[in-house]
Amino acid sequence: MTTALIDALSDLDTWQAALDSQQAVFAAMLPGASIGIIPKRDLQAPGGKMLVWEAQQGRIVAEERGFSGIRSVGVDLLFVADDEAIEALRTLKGSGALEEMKEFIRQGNILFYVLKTKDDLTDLGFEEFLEALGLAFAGPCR
Amino acid sequence: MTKPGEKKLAHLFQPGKIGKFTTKNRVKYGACCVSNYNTRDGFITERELARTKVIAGTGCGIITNQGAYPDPKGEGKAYFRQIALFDDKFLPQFEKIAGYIHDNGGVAIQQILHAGRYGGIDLGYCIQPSVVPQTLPHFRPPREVSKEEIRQIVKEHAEAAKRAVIAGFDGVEITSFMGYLLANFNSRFTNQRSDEYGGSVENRGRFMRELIYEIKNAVGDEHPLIVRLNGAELMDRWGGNSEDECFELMEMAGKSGLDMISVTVGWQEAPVSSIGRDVPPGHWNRLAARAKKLLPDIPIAFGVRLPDPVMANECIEKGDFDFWEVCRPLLADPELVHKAAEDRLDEVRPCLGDMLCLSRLFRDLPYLCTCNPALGHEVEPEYHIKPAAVQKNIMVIGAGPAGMEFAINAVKRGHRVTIFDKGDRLGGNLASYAAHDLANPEDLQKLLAQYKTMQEKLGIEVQLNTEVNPKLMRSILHKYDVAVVATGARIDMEAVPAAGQEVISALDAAGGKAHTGNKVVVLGGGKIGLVLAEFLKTQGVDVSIVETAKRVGEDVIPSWKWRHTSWLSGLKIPAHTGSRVQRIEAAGVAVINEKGEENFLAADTVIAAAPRKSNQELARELEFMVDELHIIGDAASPRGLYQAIHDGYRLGVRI
Ligand SMILES: Cc1cc2nc3c(=O)[nH]c(=O)nc-3n(C[C@H](O)[C@H](O)[C@H](O)COP(=O)(O)OP(=O)(O)OC[C@H]3O[C@@H](n4cnc5c(N)ncnc54)[C@H](O)[C@@H]3O)c2cc1C
Ligand SMILES: Cc1cc2nc3c(=O)[nH]c(=O)nc-3n(C[C@H](O)[C@H](O)[C@H](O)COP(=O)(O)O)c2cc1C
Repeated sequence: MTTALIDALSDLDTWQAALDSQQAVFAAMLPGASIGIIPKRDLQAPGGKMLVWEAQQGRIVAEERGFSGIRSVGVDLLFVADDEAIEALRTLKGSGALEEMKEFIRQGNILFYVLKTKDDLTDLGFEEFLEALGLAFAGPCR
Repeated sequence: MTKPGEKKLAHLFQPGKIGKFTTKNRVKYGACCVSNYNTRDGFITERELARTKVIAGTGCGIITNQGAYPDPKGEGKAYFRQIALFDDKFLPQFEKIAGYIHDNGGVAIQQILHAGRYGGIDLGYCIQPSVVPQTLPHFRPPREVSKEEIRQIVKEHAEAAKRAVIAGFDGVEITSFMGYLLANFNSRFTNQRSDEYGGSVENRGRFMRELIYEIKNAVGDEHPLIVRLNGAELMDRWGGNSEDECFELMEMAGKSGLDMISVTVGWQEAPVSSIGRDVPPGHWNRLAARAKKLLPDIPIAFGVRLPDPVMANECIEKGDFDFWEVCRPLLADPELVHKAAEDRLDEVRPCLGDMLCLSRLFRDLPYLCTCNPALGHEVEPEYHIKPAAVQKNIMVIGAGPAGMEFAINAVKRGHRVTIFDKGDRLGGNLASYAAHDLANPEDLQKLLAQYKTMQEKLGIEVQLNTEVNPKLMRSILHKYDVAVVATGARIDMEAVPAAGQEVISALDAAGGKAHTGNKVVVLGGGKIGLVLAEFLKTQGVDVSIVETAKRVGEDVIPSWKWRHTSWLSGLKIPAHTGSRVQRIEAAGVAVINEKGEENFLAADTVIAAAPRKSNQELARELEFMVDELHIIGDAASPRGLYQAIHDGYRLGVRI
């Protein structure tokens, strides 16, 4: 992976600014509710870094953790982004981030795994966030 | 004697072969029947038995009974009320079902369905070859199966198969449809094991080969085994099998001693459509043709989104497959095969592919069908069409789906019916919907055509271009015993803020009664606003949507919402949700969102698609003019197509 791509996920200040402009989407999340983002190539070769958004005292906070594989991932939702999506997200400032993510999810550049059941996610306050990314609509069987 | 349709569709109606059995035709009832109305612990109910009698009577040469889960823990259980076959205690009802199928001359097949990744519905987990987290929150977190567990699962499948044969079934089927356990082992996506069950295609297919071997061993050669396999998973994005790998596995299955392959398409979590209305009929036929070419000596069954018996007949003639495997079209019209045999295809109630059936299953509710209101109610005499005790003269006001559905069924009961409509065609707003549907308008048009056919064949009198009002009523007073108000709903234009430019009703725009410009703002992001906006955009119109709710599509069938949001994104239609109209000016619409931010949307045309209001005024006027008065469809309350059809049917069969 290129340094630029690692930087993209590690640029916590930019991410924090993007999250701060979208706090309404995260408002209902209980403390500890968390979302991880990793580069796609790290999925099969763990050991890299994971960008984590975690609800802490009424605010969603961007931080960095290690990614040591999907079994021990420790987040409630995991996004797996390809190089194109990471590169695009890197340049994002502020409120466009979630809209852009939604489009990347739709196009398949960002994959997502749910590590909790629907009821757990609802209890943790994820409904609004899932809706904002168009994920709640993605029901089974098409 | 050969019936006229049997001659026309000679390939479809020729006998077929599965194992030692000869089938009366080439139609297989696809296991399309996890109905969700059995007991929570897996027993088949009276409701299910009544439904199964109807299935047995569909006239198919092979009937597949719905998938039963094979394990006592319920790891294989996909639906809340799925049937089970892990114990002899379940056998009496299976015996009845095998009997119904044989009474109708069908070959009886019992499906065994272990849902794998989509299973464990009552448990806190599901089992899979490897731990691959879910991509849809509906399903349970995964647990990896050990080798001992694999052996146990294979054994349970074989025992369940043996039970099915003891109950009188001629053969059994195992299924990987939509990503169940068999598919999980076969797929690169969910099988990441490093033992002999994972890795190469050869290893991933080991579970399948063991299943085939053990089941055949348990039931004996005289009882055929059908295996449903993906021709395409549509899971490439997730690292699933390529089509070539699917066919490698199919070839492997073909060499392992099975008796028929059923080709299916897609997984439940696949990001693209496999069976929805947006897939053109016949789209996947090439996969069946590839299977047939690969395995010319093995009977191939296929029917995914192939609702047309004429097309199926052609495919069999061409050698694309051997059996037409039908599912949803037989939910919509259980008489489909009989109507085809009698050359009455114009009378078939079409499957609209709108996925109402599946969206109910995934809400743990019994399935419903838009076009077949009796589905699931076969056990209730109130849903059957019986001769009326007294013949009534009935006027129906409104020739939309509610009015048409009512009229057809009331006439079948022996009543005399006249339909009045102020418009110049049958179908009401369904015709406008069909004219603007992006998915596959032909499905909706087929329903309109069926209404016209039935009206003509049943001799239902129609008076078009006739608005029913108190004046007209006074002139025809005492001619009718019953008035049925099926006048639909209108856009409540009084609720639209006072405007500096003319605001057009979405129903007028969709009905071709109003001209729209090049820059349109649609007020209301419910189903009508969405359908109209999407259509206008494809016509090159610059369109945006304003919706007061947080999200668009709140009144859309759950399994169809994604389709609209996907169209909105794909067509780049801006949706201003959580926004209210402040002013409508000559140059456009001023809106304000929940944060108080104002926005001006330039427009040369403003279309109101919400709110809707029932056309009930006439009902009030008629209250003291007829003996019996009823209100149905959107006129009772503004809802949608399936509710209009169901209202019409329920009143029609009871009046
Ligand atoms: C563009 C568009 C998109 C739509 N999309 C969807 C969708 O995605 N899903 C869905 O479920 N539904 C959709 N609908 C709505 C669906 O078409 C209606 O819910 C359905 O047609 C209602 O049926 P109905 O018979 O109750 O009324 P209608 O179909 O509205 O029929 C009422 C009939 O009564 C007649 N009438 C009214 N007053 C009188 C009178 N006084 N005298 C004589 N005749 C009278 C009218 O001319 C009309 O023909 C859509 C509609 C439109 C226009
Ligand atoms: C309500 C419903 C339930 C189904 N249940 C099963 C099932 O139990 N087992 C199975 O293998 N397929 C099942 N299917 C899939 C169908 O057998 C069929 O393959 C699919 O619907 C495509 O065919 P169609 O276009 O004719 O509907 C089901 C489909 C529907 C709509």
